[in-house]
Formats: sequence, structure tokens, C-alpha cells
Amino acid sequence: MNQIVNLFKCNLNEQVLKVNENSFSKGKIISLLKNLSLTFLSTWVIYAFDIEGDLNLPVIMAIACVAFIINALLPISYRLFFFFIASLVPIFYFFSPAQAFTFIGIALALIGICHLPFSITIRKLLVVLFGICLAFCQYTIKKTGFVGGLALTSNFVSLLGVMFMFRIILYLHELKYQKKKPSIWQSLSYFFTLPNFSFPIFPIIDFKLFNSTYYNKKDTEIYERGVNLIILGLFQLLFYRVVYYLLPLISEVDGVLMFFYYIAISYLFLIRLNGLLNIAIGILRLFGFNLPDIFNYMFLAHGFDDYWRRVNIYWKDFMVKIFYYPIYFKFRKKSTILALTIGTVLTFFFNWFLHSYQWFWVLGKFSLRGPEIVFWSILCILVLVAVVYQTKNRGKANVSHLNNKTWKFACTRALQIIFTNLIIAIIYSLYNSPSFSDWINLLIKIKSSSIIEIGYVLLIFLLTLLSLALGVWMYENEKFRTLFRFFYRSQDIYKFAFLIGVLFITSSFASNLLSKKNQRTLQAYVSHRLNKTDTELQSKGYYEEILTGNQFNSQSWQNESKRPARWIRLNKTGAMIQKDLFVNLKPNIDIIFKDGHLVTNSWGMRDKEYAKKRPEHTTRIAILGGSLEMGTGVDNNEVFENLIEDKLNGNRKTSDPNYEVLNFSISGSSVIENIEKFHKQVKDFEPTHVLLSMHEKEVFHFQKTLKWIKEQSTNTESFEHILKNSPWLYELVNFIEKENLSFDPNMKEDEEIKKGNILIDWCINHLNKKCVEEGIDFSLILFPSLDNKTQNLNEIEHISKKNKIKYYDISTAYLNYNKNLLRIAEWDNHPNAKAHELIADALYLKINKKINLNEN
Amino acid sequence: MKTEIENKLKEYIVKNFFSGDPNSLTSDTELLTSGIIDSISALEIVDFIEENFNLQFEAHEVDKENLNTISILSDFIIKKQA
Repeated sequence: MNQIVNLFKCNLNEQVLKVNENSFSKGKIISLLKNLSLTFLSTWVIYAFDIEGDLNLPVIMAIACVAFIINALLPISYRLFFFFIASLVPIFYFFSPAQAFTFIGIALALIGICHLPFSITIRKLLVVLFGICLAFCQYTIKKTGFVGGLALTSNFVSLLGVMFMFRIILYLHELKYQKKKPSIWQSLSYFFTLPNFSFPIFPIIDFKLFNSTYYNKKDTEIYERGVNLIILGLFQLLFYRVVYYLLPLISEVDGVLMFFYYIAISYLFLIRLNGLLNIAIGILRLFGFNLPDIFNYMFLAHGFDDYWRRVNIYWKDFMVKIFYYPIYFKFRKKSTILALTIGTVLTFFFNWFLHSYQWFWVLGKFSLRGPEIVFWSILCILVLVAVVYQTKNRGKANVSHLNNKTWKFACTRALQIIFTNLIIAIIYSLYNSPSFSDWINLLIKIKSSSIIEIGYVLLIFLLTLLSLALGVWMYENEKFRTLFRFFYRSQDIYKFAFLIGVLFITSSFASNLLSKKNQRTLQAYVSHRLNKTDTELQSKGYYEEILTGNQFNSQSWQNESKRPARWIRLNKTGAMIQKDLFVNLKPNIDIIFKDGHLVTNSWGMRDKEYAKKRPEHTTRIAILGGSLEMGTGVDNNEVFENLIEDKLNGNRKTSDPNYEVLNFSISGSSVIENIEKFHKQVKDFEPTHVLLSMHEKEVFHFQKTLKWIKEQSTNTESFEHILKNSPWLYELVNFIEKENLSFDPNMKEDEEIKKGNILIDWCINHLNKKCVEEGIDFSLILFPSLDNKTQNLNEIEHISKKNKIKYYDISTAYLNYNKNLLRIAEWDNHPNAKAHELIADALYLKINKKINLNEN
Repeated sequence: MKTEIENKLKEYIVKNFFSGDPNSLTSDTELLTSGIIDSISALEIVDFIEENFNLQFEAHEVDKENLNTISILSDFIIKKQA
């Protein structure tokens, strides 16, 4: 029996056992209770604000909270084994038992390969081969959605990637050089670390560091450091939530002041990475791993080499250990400067490659964007220049430490901090830009600055310089340094006050103290929503087209990363026909589009077969719209227009006419394409009613089509051909020119919407007039949206009222429903079958009241 | 012998890397973890040690375990020389 129990025991060194005796004094119990309370409150805050809910952080924190206290009560020798067991819990929580066992099996096999009785080179080769097999699985999953009969999901392989992509390199490195063989529980705990399952980017913890810091100090001290780091991370993530909403759209940047505001806010997005990694390390400290801090006040870096040392220290240490030092040692005999140069350049190359490699495991594809490569190249040059300069000038200045106490030193250091952060922020904005042209456009916008704006920038610069200089001077002078210590020393009372204060904000009591408007503002911060930039990118289908460099800072990428590669846009399926402005689906196709069964009739409509001539005694309704109305991601029989046709016919009296609802909608159509469709196709089908569906993003779709028309106009011949085919477009183009309504890329959002709405007004009136001429009843549908942002169909409603055009307002069809359950997928805002049912119910109620059932 | 090595190392570190009060630098002051020396300056210390104490470092030996304090560094030098 004892032998079995001993299997779960980890032999710790005497120093560890001496520092951490298994006794529970009153002081220790109080300390444990205090840390448990703080961990519990932190978990509560994470739940209340749904912090990183997409990454399952609330679940991981809850497991950590329970496991922490069990771990603390166990005899120290069994804690490592317990940590491993606790780390398995999320695997069984997130996966089915079969998947969980497969996952553990694969992980154990990989660890096992590292211990095979072959030379280290052969073991490395075997690990690489294993990695290639997993990479192939990841690639196949992204293509097809699953692998073989195992139904391995992308998350499954991504999690294996997070566990092994870097740590196995360090593990093999240690096996090569470490004299003492690690125990089984040390190895297993290293890979199966509990917080793994919440962090697509997990700190690259060194295996030697992981083991050497295990209970190397008194346990209560380590737990306290862990709790402090979790609270700091929490603060950073809450701060990030505020900053996230402050990011303006690039199109809103219109001068030097807004430019600096934009780059400052986007630079501050790094605070999210700080927060997440701090919480990861904090959780590990709760289990006795007394790991060092991962960031060292990165915003206080006073040089590029200093920045590299302060930001993600674990990553830097990994790069230095695995690449920089071995390269440097290879070349140092020739020349120190040459070795430093080659070492730095190659390390930055691997740095870029490993970032891409990391994204492959997380997202399933390599990130090979130009701005990213340029970002790393610039940073490499800046760091190299700083390193060579410092190496060459080391010891020459011979500056006394007393000089640090002067104002001159304080001002110089403050300037260095501002300059370093400014340059990094500017090149970081390049890293975040989807393309060079976007970034250049951003820089160009500085040109349109007024003297007052430049004055404001200078004033802000001076104020920042003075505050920083004062801070540096006070820090360097002993009598003021105590002030920093006062702030730095984390008193328990502050921690409790912070957590309870934050929780109070979410209470209904606090909410009732605010006005309705402020309640809505507060709600935006408490719940997780997309900011303007991410909402726009998602609405543009941006994440379907390319992978942005800002994956980690963008909320959308997390959802987008789950999108299988087979979910392509409709125009990539070959199912569309386009002739100038006329867009249609190919007739008689039968395809799977975004997992929905899409079948077209002989006219290229996503609908049943209909005769061109309207049958006798039939009310024929033509629906014009875009991808939502076409029914992206659902089967034909689930699309709302089919459901509504069934409802209308099912509930009609025998004397009522028969109903036919024809769906002319197609992805990407704006009002312009729909007018063209009316002229070229719809009216030939003799509809009695035309329903044009309108959304809140109408202006954006409109703008896209106008951009296309503008591009065509550069080629006179082809433009004349288009105008000849679509005479009505003449009128629109003339109207735009006459009223000066063309769109300019640098236009502000408000102006864009204003102009867009005037044009939409024109288009709706035009279509209404044409319908009246054909004796067709014309109406609008105000369609519901699954976006997180507030619906803004007021302007469309206003236009309808002004022009006395009938409209069916079904924009509240999803009210009281959880929108997350109405999407076709987490990463796609198109309505699913249930949402189509709701749309059909809402529209049926409206139509039934307004369309005369007896008309023919 | 250890004291002699420690003095030599301290003198070099104060001259090249340490910006604080020289008296506050002891044999047990943490060099890497406190930021007095970084990954680049660690290489300069390696070069200094190799030149002055007639020994050879390997890339994997440049780490906290061998370089974190003047005392640890002295022990490492003595061990390597033995």
C-alpha cells in the first residue's frame, strides 16, 4: 500500500521541505483564508464581467480556486501529483470523454518520445515527425472540419499546440544538458499546466525555472504573490475593456491629434496580453510555482534593447537561450560585434517565424503578412543599433550613480521613455494594419492638421515629459522613493476594496442609482461587445478574407479562428453569375454553403420552381435582399421566405388567393443591385408585391457598390456599356454629381452616413416609382440584426414615413432571445434556422395585417 | 581564492554595468533577476571571465544558475577551473 502511495509522491529537496513544514499555525491559516477569499472574489469579478469568456477564463479560474485550497492543505510531497490531476479537469470539462482520453494519450505519447532510449538527435527527429503529423491534422481540420472518425476539432489540436509548441523545445534542451532526470510528476505538471486551457498564447516557461522555483520560498508568500498577480492581471483586463471601446475607426483619424490618440489607444491594447499572461503566472503561483514576473513595466522602457528586455520576458529568455546564445557562441571567435549582429538578426528572424508558427497552431494558418515582417525588421534594426552602441561604449562614460539624482538625468530619461514608446507605438500600428496602404493612409492623415491641433500635441507632450521627469527624479531620490513604496506595497485592504468595488458596479443597486442612459453605458462595459473597428471588420466579412496582424488584440479573431476553411464567401464558390450590376445565382445548382444546403431553381433563385407568368388568382410577393434574406448557412426549407409562404397558404381561407413568395435575394446586394435586379428580372415575374429588405449596414453596402461603379467609370468604354444596359443608373450618377454626394476615403463616418442616407432615399423613391408604374405594391422590411451594436434603422423608417412608403418593421423579432443562440455560428452573424422562424413569424403577423388577402 | 575572484568580478561589474552605489553591490546581490546585467551584458561577463580566468564557457552555461550573483559566479569559475 505504501509503495502505491509513494508513487504519487514527489521527492523535493531538503531546502523546500525545510521552508515549508506541514504545520498549520494560526498565522498560516489566516493567510490561506485571506488568499482564498481574494482568489474567490477575483473569480467572481471574472464571472460578473465575463472577462475572456471566449477563452474559458471564468471556468479555469473557478477550477483554480477550488484546487488551490485542496493543494494548500495537502502534504507538500503530494502537491505536484495533485496539480497534475487538477490540470486534467479542464480537459474532461471541455471535451467528451473519448476526446479527453485521446488528448491525454497524444500528450503522453509526445512526452514519452522525449524519454525513448535513443540519442537526443533521434528523439528530436521523432518529435518533429510527430509535430508534422499534428500540423497535418490541424491543416486538414481547418479544411474539412474534422479528422477521420475521431472528430478532432480545431480547438483540440490548438490546445495540444499550446501545450507543446514551445515547451517541448525547452524540455528537450533540458534533457540534453540536465544532469538530474526529472521526476514523472515534474514532467507531467510542466506540460499539463492548469491555466493552459484558457490561453492561446501561454507564457513560455522554462523547464528548469519551473522546477527550481517550486516552493522555493514559504508557501504563503508564494500564494500571496500569485493572488497579487491575478488581481493585477484582472485590473489590466478591466482597463483593457475601457480602452478597447475608445479605439476610433481609422477613417475617423483626421489630424495629428487624432493620429496620436489612435496610436496611443492601439498601443495600449498590449495591456490585454499583460493581463492574460499575468493571470496565467498568478494561477501557477497559487500552486507553489514561484515564477518571476513576466513583464517589467514595459511602458517605462528607455531604449529599444530595454523594451525587448521588459516585454514578455519569458519569450525573450526563450529566444536568447535557444537561438541567440548558440548563434553568438558560433561566431564570437571571429568578432564580438559580428557575433552580436548575426545573433540579433537571426534571432529576430526566428522571432518572426515563431510568431507565425504560433498562429499556425492557434488558428490553423501561418501569418505571412507584409506589415508584420516589416515590423520585426524595423524592431530588429533598432535593437541591433542599441546593442552594438552599448557594447562599444560600455564603461566609457564612467558616470557616477549620484548623477542619477539630478534633474538633467530625470529629463533625459523621461525623453528616452517617450521617444522609445512613441516609436514602438508607431511601428506597432504598422503591425496592426491590415496592409501597408492602410498604414500609409493613416500617416497621410497627419497632413490635415491645424495649428491648434499641433499646439495641443505639443502641450500634451510637455505635460507628459514633465510628469515623467518628476516621477524619475522622485524615484531616484531616496527621500521620495518611499512614496513609490507606499503605492507599490500591496496592502490587503486595497485589494479587497478594489474587488468589492468592482463587484458593486455590477450590482442592481448601483445600476438603479444611475440614469437610463448611464445604465446603458455601464452595461456596455460590463458585458462583452465588439468595438467600432471590430464590428466594422466583422460586417465587412474582413476576417473571412485575411488574417489581421492584430489577431490577439481583436476580439473577433477568437470567434473567427474557429471558422473552418470550408466556410468561404459565396463569390468564391463559383455559384454566382455577375454581368455588370446584375448579380444572380447560377440556375439549378445544389451545393453546401456554410453548412447549409443551397439549391437554386431554373431562374437562379434560391427557391422552389415558379412559372414566369403569375398564375391566376395568385398573390405573388418578390423579396429583394442580401445574404440574410438569401438564407446563408441554413437549408432552403429553413429560409424565412419559404416558411412565410407556407404560413400564408396554410392559414388562408378557400376564397383567398394562392400565395407565392419568390426570393430574389443574393449575398452582397445593396439597394443598387436590387434596383438592377428589379429592372432585369423581378418585374418579368409579374409580382403583385415587392418587399425590399433594409438593414442597418445599408450605407456600407451602398458605398461598396458605388466604389465599384466609380472604378468602372475610369474605363469610358465599359462604363458606357454599363450605363447603356442600365439606363436608370444615368439618373443616379447625375444625381450624385449634381448634389456632390460621392464618397471620399477620408470622409468622416457621420458625413458618410448622411450622404449614404440621401442616396438610399433616392433609390427607394426610384424603386417605389417604378413599382407604381408597373402596378406593383412596394414596401420595405426593416430587418433584424444579430450584431452586438444597437440597431439604427431610424433613418430608413424616417425615409419611409416621409415618402409615404409602407414598411414592415420586424427589427425587434429577436427581442428577448439570446442572440448567441440565433447565429449560424459563433463567428458568423447570419441568422440560423431558429432565427429564420422568428423572422417568418414576425413578418407573417405584419403582412397578414397589411396585405389585402383578397387581392389578386 | 574565492574572495580574489569576487573582488575582480565586482570591480568589472561596477565599472561596466552597475549604476547604483558601489557599496550596495554585495556578493549575493542578484545580477540577472534584478536587471543589473542582461542577456547581452552576460555575454560580456563571459568574455571577461574567459580572458581573465582561463576557462571556456558553453552556450547553455550562460544562465541564471551560474551567473545570478557574484558568489555563484565565483563558485562556477572555481568548479570549471578544477
